[in-house]
Amino acid sequence: MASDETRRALGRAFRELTLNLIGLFELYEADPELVEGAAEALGKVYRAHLQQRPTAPRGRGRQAMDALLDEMDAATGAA
Amino acid sequence: MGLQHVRRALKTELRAETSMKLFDETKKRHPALAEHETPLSVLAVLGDESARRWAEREALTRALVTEEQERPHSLWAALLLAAYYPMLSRLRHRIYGNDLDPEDLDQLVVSTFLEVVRAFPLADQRDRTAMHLRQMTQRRVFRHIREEHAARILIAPDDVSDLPPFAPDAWPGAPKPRRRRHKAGPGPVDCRDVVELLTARAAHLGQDQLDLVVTTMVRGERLRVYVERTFPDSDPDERDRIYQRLKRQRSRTIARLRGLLADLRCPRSATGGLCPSGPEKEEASDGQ
Repeated sequence: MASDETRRALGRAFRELTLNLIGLFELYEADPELVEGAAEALGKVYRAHLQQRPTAPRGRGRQAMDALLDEMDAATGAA
Repeated sequence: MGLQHVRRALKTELRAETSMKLFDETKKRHPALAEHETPLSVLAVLGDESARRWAEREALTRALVTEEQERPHSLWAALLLAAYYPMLSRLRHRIYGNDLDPEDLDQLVVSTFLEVVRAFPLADQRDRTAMHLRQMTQRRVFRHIREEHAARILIAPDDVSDLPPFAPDAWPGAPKPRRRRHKAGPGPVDCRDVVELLTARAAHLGQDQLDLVVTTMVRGERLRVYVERTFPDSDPDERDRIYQRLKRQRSRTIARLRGLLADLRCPRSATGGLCPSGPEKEEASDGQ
């Protein structure tokens, strides 16, 4: 298992990636299904890396990425 | 330049390599920006209206306004316009009338917002920056429209046939006509006091929620019409679902507003409405 430092660095990278995708989706008014699909895929990889059971409610449509970001912030205590 | 064209220009600006270099340089001056790798990440936080990110949004907005004032660059204007695009679009679509062309209205909203940004008194207004930007932009846009409208009324028609019908009750000294109920709601400029009250008391409820209440209950636009106007590309089934969702959302917002405005209820009114002001009291006593 990766060290704590590695997990934190990767967690920050995932968070930044999520923020960038949210910004991109907003700017290009991405289809809600695309946003939801991206959140689902990214969330699966993120949860597998952190080995945490998903407890946060999943968002729908354009809110899906925001819900994933909230989940990441809650995991790191940044919220 | 229409709002959609502005949005396309923003995409180009935010992708430019020079913009990334400038962003990296500017991060050294602002801790709020230093948390983000790219302008898109900043845009994501600015677009999040949740209470959780309110402080971060406030810090980012102030950083961008500072940069636009001290070292103006199209990147900062682009980021601010992209972040506030939903607010500007809502403001633009609340304006009706023929005094300005639609594209001129778009340009008015965009240019007024940027004027407000560049003149924003950061030292005097130390919090709720987003709310003040929105209010100041709204006020200036409506003032400009009123001035434009007044100027058109003052222009004398060339042809007698352009004159309005003879109206003897408009002559000085004529008895004032009884006030008639209008089916259509008041224009947007008549609602500013209500909008300011709601914004001051209930900004935390979210701009979308407040706009819905102002548009349908203060201005009197029917919710169905609002949905058709705001979601013109949706099919009828989707619009019906949106209508039902907004109807429930509006009911919840009104319930919360009742609590927030409880101190304004008239203690003398059986229905608990607002106490009438001076002129309204006279009209009420006249049986209006």
